[in-house]
Amino acid sequence: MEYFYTVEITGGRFVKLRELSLEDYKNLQKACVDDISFESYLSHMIQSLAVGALPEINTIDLFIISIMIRYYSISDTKTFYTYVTGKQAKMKVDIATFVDKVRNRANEMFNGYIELGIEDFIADTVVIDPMNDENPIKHFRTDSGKIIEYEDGMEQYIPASIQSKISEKIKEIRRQMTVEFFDITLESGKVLTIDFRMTKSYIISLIKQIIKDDLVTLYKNLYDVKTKMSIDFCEHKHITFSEFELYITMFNSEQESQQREEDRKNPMSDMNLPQPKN
Amino acid sequence: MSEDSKKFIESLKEYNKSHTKDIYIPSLMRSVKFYPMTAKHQKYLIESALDNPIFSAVFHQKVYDIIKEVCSEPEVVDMLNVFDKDAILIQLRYNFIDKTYDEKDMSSLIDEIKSNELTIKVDPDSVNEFEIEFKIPTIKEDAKIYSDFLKSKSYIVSPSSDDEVRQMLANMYIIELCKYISRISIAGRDASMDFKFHGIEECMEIVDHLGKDVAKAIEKFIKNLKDKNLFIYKLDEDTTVEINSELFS
Repeated sequence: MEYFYTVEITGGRFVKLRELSLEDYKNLQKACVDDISFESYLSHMIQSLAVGALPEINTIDLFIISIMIRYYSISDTKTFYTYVTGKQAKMKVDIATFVDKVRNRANEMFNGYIELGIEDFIADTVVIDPMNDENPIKHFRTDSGKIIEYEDGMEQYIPASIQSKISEKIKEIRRQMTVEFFDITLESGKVLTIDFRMTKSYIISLIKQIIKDDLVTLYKNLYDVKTKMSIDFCEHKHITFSEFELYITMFNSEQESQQREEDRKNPMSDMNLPQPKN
Repeated sequence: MSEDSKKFIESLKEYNKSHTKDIYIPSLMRSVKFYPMTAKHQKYLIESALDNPIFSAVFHQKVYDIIKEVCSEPEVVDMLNVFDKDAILIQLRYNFIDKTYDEKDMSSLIDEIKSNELTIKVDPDSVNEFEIEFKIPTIKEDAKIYSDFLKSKSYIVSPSSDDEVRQMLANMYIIELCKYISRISIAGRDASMDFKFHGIEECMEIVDHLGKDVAKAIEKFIKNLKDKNLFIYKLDEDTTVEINSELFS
């Protein structure tokens, strides 16, 4: 039975996801270096990892899901580098704590639904994504509960009064959500303040920053196990990234153990002394 | 587009047809039913804010196109004149976008519009040897003039020097004179020009050569007309409703 995990997004909703495979991880890292297709790749990846139907997600949900994919499939922390009094400092952040704070704040601020309250209008609510500058309307819900996705061309028929109501609500939300500050307590006890700008472009950029890892190290590890142990993990399509990491950890541990054994047998080996002549 | 979306759009069309509002037309002295403005109309008007602020040619064009789409009596649209325009736009905002302006209730303006009477008198005039027949431009003619001028070399979207601003203001003055001229004849000679058969650039060329006295006479006619028929809509001492694309944002 495959392992699944559940992520809580905004509005008290849940999404079930399967683990990231090694292949998914590799492609995700490649997408991280591509500004144009990153967001599109991320959305498709989440669709493919989701178990069952994926509910309507907004940009905050995209952030939550992306970071929790990292949490469950890659690592529960992310190390940020910054400068403190002119020196580079490393800060390891528990990303689940950060996600909890973002989710809670988003839930406080908005639920993405606007009750239209217009008598005899065919839709009673509209779901929006205030983070989407170009097209904030996601879908309408009719009074019979049917969901109608917003499509290009609908604006020709939507009454301007309804559009204005939606625009006002979005402006109100954005006014409230321009910048939020989240205090994250680090392992060291220090408190890191992250300023979280509530714009789509910022959030996508932050997602990329958090999930981006070193692709070179990945390829190096794949190369090492292939050449030294004749195992090509790329052929094992279903192996998850965390399983791969376990193998690498064991491989590295074994390599280190072998190296220590060699060093013990030949203590002068690292001094580059010429071999004694018999 | 999905079947559900198509059905949704059909429902939206039905909703719009059944939710018309009465818009008072000063020149007709009666109300005409208008369909709701849509998000698309609002977007067009907001986009026209990027236009040259002195001419606002795109705004005038879009206004005509929108009125043509939302007026339930198409035959009436081509009869609407430029003095109806402001009244119609204010009522469109009030009925279909927002009943307030600058957070102030606009209902007093709606009453004011209904009580304002147009006093339109179009008598010909003679100046020196020129005979001028005047007209009140319709919103259709107004839109056509701006549309033609937009395509001309003289139109500058963003003037970048004082000279260009001066040139634009001069063009604006000439265009305004052209709008109100129906025909110009030279007395005693078989020479006349019916402005409706000529493009704006040709009309501007003619008006440029008419001389100061004729221009002054046309200017006087326009000023008299505007003094009596162009109303400034104020909500209070500090709040004048500006008739431009921001009225619909």
